[in-house]
Amino acid sequence: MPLARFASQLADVGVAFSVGPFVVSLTSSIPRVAEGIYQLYGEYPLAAEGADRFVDYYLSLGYGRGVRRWYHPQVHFVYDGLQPFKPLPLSQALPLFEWGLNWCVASQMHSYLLIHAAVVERNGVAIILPAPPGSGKSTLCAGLVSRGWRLFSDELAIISMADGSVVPCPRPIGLKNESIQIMRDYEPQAVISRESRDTRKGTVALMKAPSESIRRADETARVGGIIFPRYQSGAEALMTSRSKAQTGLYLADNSFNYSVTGARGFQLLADLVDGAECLEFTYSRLDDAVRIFDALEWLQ
Amino acid sequence: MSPSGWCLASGFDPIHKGWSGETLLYDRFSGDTHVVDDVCMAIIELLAKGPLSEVLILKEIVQCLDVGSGIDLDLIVQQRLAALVQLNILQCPT
Repeated sequence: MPLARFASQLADVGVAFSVGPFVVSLTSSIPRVAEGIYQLYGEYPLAAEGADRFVDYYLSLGYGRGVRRWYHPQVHFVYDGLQPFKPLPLSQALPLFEWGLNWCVASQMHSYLLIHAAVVERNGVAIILPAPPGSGKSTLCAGLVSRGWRLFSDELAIISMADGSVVPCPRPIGLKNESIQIMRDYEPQAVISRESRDTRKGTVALMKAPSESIRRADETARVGGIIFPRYQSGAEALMTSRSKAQTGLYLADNSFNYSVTGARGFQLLADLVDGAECLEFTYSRLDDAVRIFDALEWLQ
Repeated sequence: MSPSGWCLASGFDPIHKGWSGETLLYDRFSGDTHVVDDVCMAIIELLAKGPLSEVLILKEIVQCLDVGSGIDLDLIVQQRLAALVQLNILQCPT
């Protein structure tokens, strides 16, 4: 679909597309949003039209009212007619969409265990990358998927309560500050959105998910490893083992809905940790990191 | 201290999974998750059978854990009892 038609549909009835396990319908008459969503989500499968179509999240991004439309314009995130967040400057529309969609998923998808972590996959084996902000998780994730790893998610590990597999949800990767230029240099072919400056996370840009990851978004994987990345300037790449119990506790503390899932969530988490290699990984250069991940024995 | 001193907190209902010296423990009553070491786990399993005095806990722990010489197990047990009270897993003797 050409951009002009996409923008027209987005402004009129909205565009509904599948993102891994859920369907999003987005409406917006903001040209900047149309351009950005087209760039980042243009390859995602559109949800079939028809009365029986099921949409998980009806979202819209709209202008502020009155003078706010023209003077320091703002963007409003609306979910099912509600505005869960304060408006942000118009230049932050795309990050707001991503943050808002994260909130929708994290607060509603309780048929899965949801953990704040990136997930990548190779040879049918998924690696969960949990880490606090500023640890280099997204940069490592972006580096790996630029070198052939499949992107499951940059933000949300979605674990099936039924069988413990990870469910892909390959959305754009959020790059912050220095990471934006690092990825532009590392993967010149990467599709990266316009930068949004002065957000609460600094300067933010979104890197489009690889086409193959989007195409294979219905292929789940078993978890083979849980690796905590940590970027440290000048450090040699080093992988060390980590306590399984402490790994389980960290995942519980960084799950969006562990408390909702009760004993089932604990059992799932314990089994997940039990069956996975639990490691810490310090790195400073992406090439080294990719080489070490590529050589992990339990992936071969 | 009476033999009925230390006991599990009212309602405490654990499930757990252990790996080499550490156990991830979930309390179905409170919804809390903790990591505890082998001494803590041994105390919990002992007190699951019924209340015990500190002296009896120490005696049982010596038998069920492989503790090297020179280790002040008395102090370790005291510390673990206090830690488990902090985690709302145990109740102090009255």
